[in-house]
Formats: sequence, structure tokens, C-alpha cells
Amino acid sequence: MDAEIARAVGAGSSAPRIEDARLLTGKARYVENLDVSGCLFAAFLRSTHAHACIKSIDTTRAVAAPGVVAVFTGVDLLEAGVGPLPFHEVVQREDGGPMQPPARLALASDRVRFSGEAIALVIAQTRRAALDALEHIQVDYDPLPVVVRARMAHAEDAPLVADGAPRNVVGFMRIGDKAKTDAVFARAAHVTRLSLTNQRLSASPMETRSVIASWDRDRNRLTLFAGNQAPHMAREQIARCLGIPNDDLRIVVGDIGGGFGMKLVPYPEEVALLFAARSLKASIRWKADRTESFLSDTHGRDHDTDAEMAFDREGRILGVRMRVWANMGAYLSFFGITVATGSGNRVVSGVYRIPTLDVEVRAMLTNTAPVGPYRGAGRPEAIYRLERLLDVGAAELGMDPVTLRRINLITPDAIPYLANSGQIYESGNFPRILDQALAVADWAGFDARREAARARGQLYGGGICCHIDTTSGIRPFEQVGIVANALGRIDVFSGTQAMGQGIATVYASMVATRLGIPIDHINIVQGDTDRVPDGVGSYGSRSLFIGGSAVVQATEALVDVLRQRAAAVLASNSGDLIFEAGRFAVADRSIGIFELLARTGGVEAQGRHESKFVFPNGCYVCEAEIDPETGVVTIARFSGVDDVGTVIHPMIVHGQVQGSIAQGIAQALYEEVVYDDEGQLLSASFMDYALPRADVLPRLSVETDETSICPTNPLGAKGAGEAGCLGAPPAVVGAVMDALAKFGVRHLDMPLTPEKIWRAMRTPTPACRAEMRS
Amino acid sequence: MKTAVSIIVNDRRCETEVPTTMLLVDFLREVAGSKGTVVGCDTGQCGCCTVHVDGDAVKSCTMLTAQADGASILTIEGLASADGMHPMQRAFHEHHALQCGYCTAGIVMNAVDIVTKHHELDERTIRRLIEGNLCRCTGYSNIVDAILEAAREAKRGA
Repeated sequence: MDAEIARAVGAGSSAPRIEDARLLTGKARYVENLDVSGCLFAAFLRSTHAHACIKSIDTTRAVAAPGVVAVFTGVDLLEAGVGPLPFHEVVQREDGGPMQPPARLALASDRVRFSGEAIALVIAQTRRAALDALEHIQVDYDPLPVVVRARMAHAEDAPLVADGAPRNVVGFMRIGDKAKTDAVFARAAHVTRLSLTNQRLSASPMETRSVIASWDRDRNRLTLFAGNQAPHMAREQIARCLGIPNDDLRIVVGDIGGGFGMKLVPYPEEVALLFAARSLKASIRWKADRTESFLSDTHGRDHDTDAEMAFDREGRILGVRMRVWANMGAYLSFFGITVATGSGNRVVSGVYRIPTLDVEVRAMLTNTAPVGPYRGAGRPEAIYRLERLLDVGAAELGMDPVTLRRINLITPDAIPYLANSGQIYESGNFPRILDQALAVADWAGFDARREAARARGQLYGGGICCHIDTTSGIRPFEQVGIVANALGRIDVFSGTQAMGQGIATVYASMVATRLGIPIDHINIVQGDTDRVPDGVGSYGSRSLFIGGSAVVQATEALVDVLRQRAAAVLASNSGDLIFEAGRFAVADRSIGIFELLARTGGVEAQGRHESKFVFPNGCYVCEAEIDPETGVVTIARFSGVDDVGTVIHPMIVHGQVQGSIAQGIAQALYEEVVYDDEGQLLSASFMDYALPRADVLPRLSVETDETSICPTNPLGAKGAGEAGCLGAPPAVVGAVMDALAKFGVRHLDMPLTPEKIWRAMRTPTPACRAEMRS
Repeated sequence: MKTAVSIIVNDRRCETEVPTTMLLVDFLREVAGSKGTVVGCDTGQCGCCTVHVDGDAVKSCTMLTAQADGASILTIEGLASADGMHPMQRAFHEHHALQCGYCTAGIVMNAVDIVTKHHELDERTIRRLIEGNLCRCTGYSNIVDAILEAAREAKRGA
């Protein structure tokens, strides 16, 4: 909002990352590297069934196994009063009653609902001994019928996952106007209909979940060392589970080897390990192996949707109807239902004028691992269905997909715009972003490139996506404390959380630039609930525009105090002082910050920022080449423009954009969590879950546009961490479908694997054949 | 069952007995205390644990400690010299080729091996040669740029 503030904190210059020195030399502070002496080791026994009653658990032989210290089961936790993990109560049941999801206990006691659910915890002297002892636990299961897919779980005869969810619908939400939408559809010139699946993904950070649960003998309380993205929120939730006051639990984070939303919520393993640490008055280490990670981390996405869009004769959108079955897995992870019913629906109508809509979201229980936030969290699902409808609609209407989008975009004169979601798009110029993206992509040269590819015997297509994100998430505030001591060291305390994105560099650089002092005087303190009094955390791309705005407020408060003191020292009015390059000056007299601190002592200042939801947006263009012999897709070009508001640290913003686009391309072409019909996870290693490698990802050409800065925070920033996961899948899928158009292929669900494409080229679906005949 | 091994880790000889089944990466982390080498997958897929064994990049989760008996190991901790970071580490820093850092030690060790052994490197070749290392944060382009830069520097220095 205030260009002066953005300039004062150094917007547009990229300070070198302060995190790199330790990360590049093997000195990272990942939990597994923390030196906590005398640790015991833990291993979890996990359910081999996707759905079963547990008739009995016999741990006798495991307890007696070499090196074993203790074995805990769900009954031990229940008897000690450990409660279920909490969930976010944001919606109701379809009948209007309160949600009644199955209680998610840290260790399942009488029933398991997904394959990989933790049943027992072994604590031993070594990791090997703990793992070996798992073999000696006997579990007598009584298997129950299994349901895996969200849409199938809604069938009248589907097995029920929990009593409190009739037809497996655990929560329900409706937005829009059904009657009005029905009327619009009845008189529409054309209706495009599409059933699609936004497949289940695994966040798969390179560091799996890693925990040390430790009993502090001196203070009789617990410490959890874990890579959690929101330590204060996790403390509150875990303490509630354990039935202890917040102050009796300290959370310490260290470095996080990637989070992507998956490490935002607290996990059953953390509760069980803390319980064990308290029971044994010990410190216990656990790190998930990769298969455990695939089995038990929260997954992302997994929506089945029936989507419809009504058009008039000119291609203007008249209305949208969506029926969404959002797979929650077997239990509600803390933000599982928030992702399905909240964050995505804030961008339910995208960047388009949609006069009326009718959206129903059913949150479905299935016998699969719980779903939670994963980079984008609900918005990729919302944008994907709109953009696919526009691509298919364009084909059906015989219109150019770019033109169809352009005539439906919200125009700049309508901003701020009250969207169908009830949210206000505070800034943005969507037609400008579209035009710029087409220019960056050299869209005018597309036909020539297609001809060249065809001459080589390749199929070639182009796809486009106009995306809009919504950042912040719930609890829309951060507060920051700054303590400057007499020696010139400045500590900045924030409840946001570094997890590889480089936010500590951004904060330190902002404070150093504003104060006009070297960056090495600034120390960013995060990830310790003892040292940081309060805060919310890092998710929803909120660390800069909310957390950074709080840093700005705190820094300004610090400068104000220092200005008063400088005025006293220089015998001047504070209003007459000029503060520049770290010095307060009036006439021929001046004093530097360090001298001022040395003479007048330390200073403390506070800052707080609260923000509404904010709407970064952009447009991506993808050109894809397909080898007709193999069905292999190569991304020939990927270009675009992102409007993330003011770019404070260009290097880090571009790093975020590239990383999130990589994950978006990964969803479009490679990744899928696959369960078989019995609920067994088939994609449980990197042999089976196709994280993209360097030889398949393209070089990107994505720019930022800073003409529509955000008016609701002092930096003008909107958040830059997730848009790639929204914009890339529709652009890539659109390009592939364009390349396959001549085969009558209308839509294929992601991931667009060579096999799927190869088959589609050879066996057109009945619907396609019908279309080709007509 | 235990096996006696004598292994040099970053110029320091380590003579000890280890369980016969102990993986090299566990030896490096738990016995030699070289915690910059980390494990990302347990199945030889991610490359986070890549170190040099007698000058060759090896995924240290795919090798038993006993197989490294008599070998000289270089890990990320041994890469920098008294003058500061290795040119590859510097290039990664300058090109923003790391975010969370978890894959970084493994990729840097592989990249040093690549630049040492290949005199003509282009983007395509580098992408092919680092496909054994997974990175979830960067999308790889900055990593490729860093390696290209370090390769140019190595050529100038040669």
C-alpha cells in the first residue's frame, strides 16, 4: 500500500540467504541432527488392514524382546485420559447437526479405519530393537468391508466408515443460489458437463516427519522437537489431547526439510510419543521411514467432481453448478475439512464473472489416510474444475480458449470485486495479466511451433490457465517482538516458521535495510514456543504479507523509540530528526543506532498485523509435445505472469514460483497416491510415487507484475508460495488435451501418464465416438 | 555379528567394529558423527545420502559399512577448505539452488563428481546426470544453473 515503506525495507533487492551457510556445509538443525542425549528409540506397529475391528492385541512377547523398554497400545492412552486429536469444526452435517467424525486416537484401540493407522508403540534402546520387536506383537483383526473412493463412499450400499457420518458424509456445505442457477441452466444456449477427479497427492518433503519427545526432569514438563509449521497452534492442540496446560509443553522446531502444508497439523505419533516420554520420564526419537511417510502423512487433494457450466450464445458464462465429493480419509485431520469446504471455495468462481452458482461439497469418509493441507490446499481443486470447464466449453462452442476466457474475465473497473464466494478481490488486473502472459509466452508464435513439431511427427498443443489464489488462512494475524540490546544485537521474534522458503532472510533483510545496519546484527527467532510468546505459523502463503507486515510495524515502533532517545541525546525535537543510513541527524549533529543503543541501553518494540484474505493471481501458458508412439509428454514451453503484489525479495519469490509450478506440473503429469480396492497403498515408495526428476521438468519463463499492489497491508504483498500448484495443472492438461484433440479426447484425469495417453489415442471413449459421429 | 573396519572420513581415520549389516550412511551419521549426510527414502531413490567413496559419488544407503573398509570417504562436511566454501557450494548459494536444504548435501556431492568427470557439460547432460537426486523445493533449474556455473569455473581453473 505504502510504496515508501516497501522501499524502506529494500523491496526489489535480493539479500543473500542467511540460511545457506549452515544448510550447505552439513550443519543444518533438522530434528534428526539435534543432539539430545540418552534418547530411546521408537517404532510404530501399523494396521495391515484398511478397515477392521481389533479383537485383541498381545504385546507379551514384544515386551520381553531384547532391548525393549516399553510397549504402549491405545488402551494405555485411553486409560490415562489421552483424548482424540482435535478437528476444525467449520461446517455441519448434511442434516444440519454437528459433525461427528470418528474419534482419532493417537493409537487405535478397537477399530482401524485405514491401512497404516498406528496401533502400538514400541520404545527400545535402539531403533533396530524397536523395529524387531514390532514383529512380536500379535494383532487379531476382524476385517470389515472397505471403501476407498469419495464418490463411491456416497453410494447407498457403501460400507460405513463411522456411525456419525450417514452415507459417509461427515460434513456438508452449500454455496450459491440453487433456484436461480437451475433457472439459468434451463434457458442456457449451451451447457458443458464434465466429471473429473483431482487425484490424491503426497506432499513428500525430502525430510520425512521426525520427532524427539522429551521429558524435562528439572521442570516436570514435556518438550516436542518436531518440524511443525505452526508450533503455537500445534502446542495448543497437542496439549488439549494430553490434558495438560499449554505451558507444560514446549515445541522446538529447528530446520524443516520441507513442509508444504503436510507438516502443519499435529499427528497421532507426536501425541503417542509425548505420552510415552512422560510415562517413562525419558527422551524418545522417531523418524518415519519413507513408506511410513506415504502411509501416515496427511495426503492432499482427492476430489471427485461433477461440474457444469452454462453459456449464452456468445460464450458468456451464465452459471456454474458443482457437486464435489471431497475425500477426507478415515478421520478428519485438523484442517482436512477446512481445505475442502473453506479455502478452495473462496476462489470458487476464479477470475471470472459468474452471475450465479450452485455448489455442494460433501466431505466424505473413506478407508484411506486422512487428507490435509498440501500446497494450494483447496484452491488447485477449485481452479482446475473451472479451467477444465472453459477448455471443454471452448471446444464445444467452437471458440478459442483464450477468447472465451477473455470475454468472461472480471474487468479492472469492477475491482474491488465482490465474488460469488462472498470474498472481496481487493486488487488485480486480470486482462492485463492475461495479455502479458501471452506476450511472455510468445503466443503469436504458437502455430509455427506446432507446425514445426508436426513436421517432426510429434503432437503439439497449447494450454492456458487464469488462476487466482487466496492467502492467509484462518487466524489472520501475526505479532512480532523486536529486542535491540545495548551491544547492537537485534532479535526479531515471530511465530511464523521458516521451512526452507527463506523467510528469515526476508525478515532480517527488511529490518537491516530499514535500520540501515548490516544484516548480521539481526537474529530471527522462530520455532520455539518458549522464546516466541505467541504467533500463528506459516501456511497459506501468509509469512510475508501478514508476518512481514508485523515485522514492519515492530520495526517502525522501534525506530520511534530510538528517535525519541536520539532527540534527547541531540537536544532536538524528534520531529526534526532525519533518519537515514542508520543515523539520526539534525543540522550538523547526528548519532548512529549502535552508539545510541550503547549510550541509552536496550529497546523493546512490538508490532502486529491482521489481514483479510488476499488474492494473488496470474496466468500460465504451457505448450506440450507428445510422442505419438509412446504417449510421453514433454513440456516444450512454460511461461506466465504472477501478480503477487509487491515483490520484496525477488530471488526468493521466483524460487517459490518455480517450486510450486514444479509441484503443479508433477500433479498434471506424474504423481498419484494409489490405493487398491482393499485399501492397500500401492504407491508407498519413490519407486511407485513419481516425484519428478531434473530430466523431466522444464525451464520456466515466469515473470511477476507489480502494478496491482495489495492495499490491505503496508508492504503491498499478496503471498507467493502456492500459485504454481493452482495454475500449472490446468495449463499442462489443457496443452495435452489440445494436442490430443484430433483423437476426440475431451478430458483425461491427471496424472497424464504415457499409458493413459497411449490408450486414449488408440481407444476413444464411447462418448468421444458419439461426439465424433455427431 | 560385528566387522572390523578402517575407514577415512574427511581425512580422519576411523578404526572400529561395526555390525555387519550396518549401512554406510548409518556409520557416517552415528559412528563418524557426520550428520550432514541424511536419508530421504531408504530405497536408493532420492540421493540425499550421496557421498564420495574413493572419489566416486555413491548413495551411502546402498552400501554396507563393511564394503567401505579401507576406503576414503568425503562428505559435505569435508568439502569446504580453510579458504571457505567449495566453488560448488558457493555456486549453489549464489544461484538459490537450495531451499530447505535436505537434498542439498547429496546433490552438491554428486555435482562435484559430475564436474570433476565431465569436461563438456550442457544443461541437458546435467539434468540427466542429476536425475538420481530428488529435490522437492526448487524445480531443479537453479540447481542446473549452479552446476553450469561451477563447471565453467572449474574449466577456467584447470
